[in-house]
Amino acid sequence: MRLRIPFGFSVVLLLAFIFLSLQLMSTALQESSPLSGLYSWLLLSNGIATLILLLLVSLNVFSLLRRLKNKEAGSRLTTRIVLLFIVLSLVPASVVFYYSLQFLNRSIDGWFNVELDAAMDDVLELSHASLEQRMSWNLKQSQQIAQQLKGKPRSEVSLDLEKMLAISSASDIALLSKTAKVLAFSGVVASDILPSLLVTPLFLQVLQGKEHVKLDSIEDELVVQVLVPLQLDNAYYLQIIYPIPERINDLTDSVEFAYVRFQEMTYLRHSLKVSFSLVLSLVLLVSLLATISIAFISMREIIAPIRELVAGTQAVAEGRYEQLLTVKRQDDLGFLVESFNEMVRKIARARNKARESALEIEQQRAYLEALLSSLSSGVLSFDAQLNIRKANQRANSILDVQLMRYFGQSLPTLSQGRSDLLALSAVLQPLLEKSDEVWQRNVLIDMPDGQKELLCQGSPLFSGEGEYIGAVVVFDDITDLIQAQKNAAWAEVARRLAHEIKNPLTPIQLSAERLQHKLLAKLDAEDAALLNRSIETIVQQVEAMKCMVNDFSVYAESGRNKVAKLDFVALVKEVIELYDTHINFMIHLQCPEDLPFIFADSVTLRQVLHNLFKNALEAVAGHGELRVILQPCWQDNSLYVQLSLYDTGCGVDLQQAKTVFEPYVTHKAKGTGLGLAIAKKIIEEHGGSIRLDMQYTGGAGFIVLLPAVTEKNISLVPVGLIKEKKDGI
Amino acid sequence: MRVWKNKYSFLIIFTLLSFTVFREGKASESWVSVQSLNWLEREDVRVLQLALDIKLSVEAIEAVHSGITLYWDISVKFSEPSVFMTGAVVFLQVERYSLRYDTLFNHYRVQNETKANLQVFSSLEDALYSLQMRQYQQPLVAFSMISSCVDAEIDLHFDIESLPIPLRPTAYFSSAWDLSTNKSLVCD
Repeated sequence: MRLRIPFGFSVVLLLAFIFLSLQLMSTALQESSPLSGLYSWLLLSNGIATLILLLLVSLNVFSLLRRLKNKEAGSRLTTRIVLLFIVLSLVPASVVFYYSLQFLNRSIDGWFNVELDAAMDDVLELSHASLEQRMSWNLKQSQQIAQQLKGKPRSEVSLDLEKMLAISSASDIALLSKTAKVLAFSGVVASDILPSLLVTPLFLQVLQGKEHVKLDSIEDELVVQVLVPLQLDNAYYLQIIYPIPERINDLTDSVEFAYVRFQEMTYLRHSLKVSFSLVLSLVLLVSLLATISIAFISMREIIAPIRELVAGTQAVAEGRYEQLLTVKRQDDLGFLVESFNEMVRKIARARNKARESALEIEQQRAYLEALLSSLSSGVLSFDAQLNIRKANQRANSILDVQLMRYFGQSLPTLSQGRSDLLALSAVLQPLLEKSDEVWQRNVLIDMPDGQKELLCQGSPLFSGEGEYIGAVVVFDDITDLIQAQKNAAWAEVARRLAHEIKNPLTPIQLSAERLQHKLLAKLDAEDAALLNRSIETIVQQVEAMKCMVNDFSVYAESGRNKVAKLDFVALVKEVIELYDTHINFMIHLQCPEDLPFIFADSVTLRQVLHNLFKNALEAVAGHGELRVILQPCWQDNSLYVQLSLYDTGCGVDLQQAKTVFEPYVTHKAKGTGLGLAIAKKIIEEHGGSIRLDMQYTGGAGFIVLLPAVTEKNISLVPVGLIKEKKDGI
Repeated sequence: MRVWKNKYSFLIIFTLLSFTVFREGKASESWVSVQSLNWLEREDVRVLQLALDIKLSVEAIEAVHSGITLYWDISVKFSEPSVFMTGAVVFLQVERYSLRYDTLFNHYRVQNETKANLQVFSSLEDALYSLQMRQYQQPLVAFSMISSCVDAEIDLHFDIESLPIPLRPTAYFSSAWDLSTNKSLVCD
């Protein structure tokens, strides 16, 4: 765990230490201070503390630069404030520093001007001159004493020494031999038995006949030492010590001390300047660092709530409204934080309401989507400019187009890519443009898989304020309904025809055959032949009518299928074998091995296959080919078995295609027109479909879809499926 | 962490810079040095002959002539190598000398502050010479004689703290005031 010392606490501690040591240094600068011995240590410790402070400030500056680079909140404001603090403190501090330095230098220089220097030299010279004069006078006095003792014997001289001491101002007189041995001595202090000063090395000069005078000190008292030869063949010498008067001694000491002190101060002049400049610079640096530190500390206090505000703003921008800021201060920033919290609370409430509204709208939209999707009718909505805005899934399937691609585009644009929808556009667009009330139209459109009849109902849409905001068109595919109605009508006709026609046919046939039997023998050959031909014609026509009536009966009957799991491939192959006997009619079967089974009635489905194969054979007129393709097919998430039949006959034109599956519509010379109608009816009863493949141009092409047996529907009762279909019709 | 690395680097660089910038270039020749250090045995004493070379820089000479007293502490230590390399001290002498110029008498005073001996010289050279040739002796009895080996350690320390206060910071950082030396004579 890293120990973190607060920056503010460290700075305060360092500043206190620095100012204390500066104060101690100031005291220590006095030579007499007991702290003078600690001056260097104080200076060193002060320097180290300043360095630590500088380091701390530098770290903060580096940190600030890093935050500036990262564009952190509050970094620019901190920079500005710190710079402002520096400028505000540095300018006056620098001015004070400059003038203090100037004043100090001039003051120090003023202490040592030329006049003072010369005066000090003069004073010293005066002192020296005074002493030299004293020495000269003492020498002269000594010479006089030597003159008085001249010519006297050594013993007498020894005796006269005391007399000479009395009349002179000397403190002691000694008679010395040539070897500097004391021969006789007389001093003012009775206890003294030897001279107070020993003979100096300069005694050699005296040996050569020269006098010697020298200034010396005895116990810090100045004395004049004089050595003079006696005129006794220069064999004896006198050493006379003259004390300097006390007043002159004190003055000389004072002058010397002042001169030495002045010289010392003169020498230390540069060092003094350096020392004072150093201390002043230190004070300036410490002041600057203290200012910067205070700026940093102050800005930390100010920036902290701003950072929190920025973090809070970013949190709000990211959608986190639960993070409220802590109000730590009661000043303007605290008020700002409180206002921010209030704003965040209001935004959060508004956002929650908006979210709830959006959720509700979304639920409504989903509900509407589900509603539209569940509708069996197609729904198309248009905006105020009659551009397609919305469509449900059923509309896509009815029109066989992905209407989503045309959202925002007009209805005619839809028909540009689909010519079969041109009729729809042509009918609906004028109604949408001018209708301001509900309208209804039946529209016939030619789809690729046949003609469709749509029942369209339109209604303009208005906002709550009554403003026109678009229109909605609901349409249903009523083709099957119309077809069912037709089929039902035709079935009723067929049932009645069968009922009305079938009953008299047998009596007609029996009556004709009886007439032939009764009258044939009575007629001549010519009439008999006529009768035979007529009766044969009647019988043939009755048989034909019976067949037709049977067809009617088949068409009229419904739900006679006995559905079971059926191998459709095997059934197709059986039927193909029947038609494969025709030499010029080639049938090609193409089917996979693992084709699923179907639920179907083999009897009725065989009839369907017969009808289709028979039609193909008749279409190619006995010369041609029929291609039979069986394959699995997925449609509307259901598995089907698809049977495709392509012959090389005359084909079916577009006009014929519209009515090809309608009953009593035939384009052949012989035919009831019920073959394809019955086939369609049976297939639809099986839950399948049959349509013409209009893409095929080599003849006629039919595509039959029958529901396959899967794991899902294997448990279902097939009859139910058929019954349901029947009920739907 | 990178930030801490930078902080340490900054501290090291700053410390090095402060030592290189504030310290003036040292003269190629030192002002004070030990010229020779020899052992002599005379009858029953062991004598260490020490020859010092003491010169003063221009700044120091100027300071002396301006009345500033210079102080040296001359420390001499004899020791015998003993167990665990601790070194048993046989002889230790510390003497404090001062050099001062007397304006009135125009002579130089060399004083042994420890023994209060005063010597007066008419020239600076003579005064310095009095400090240079030194002898230290110790009776052989004082040594344990377990080993004939005796180490000598000489330390001539110029006392900057005795200089006037304004001069001290300059003296610490100026080679002109580097008037100290030390040397050891270690026997094999």
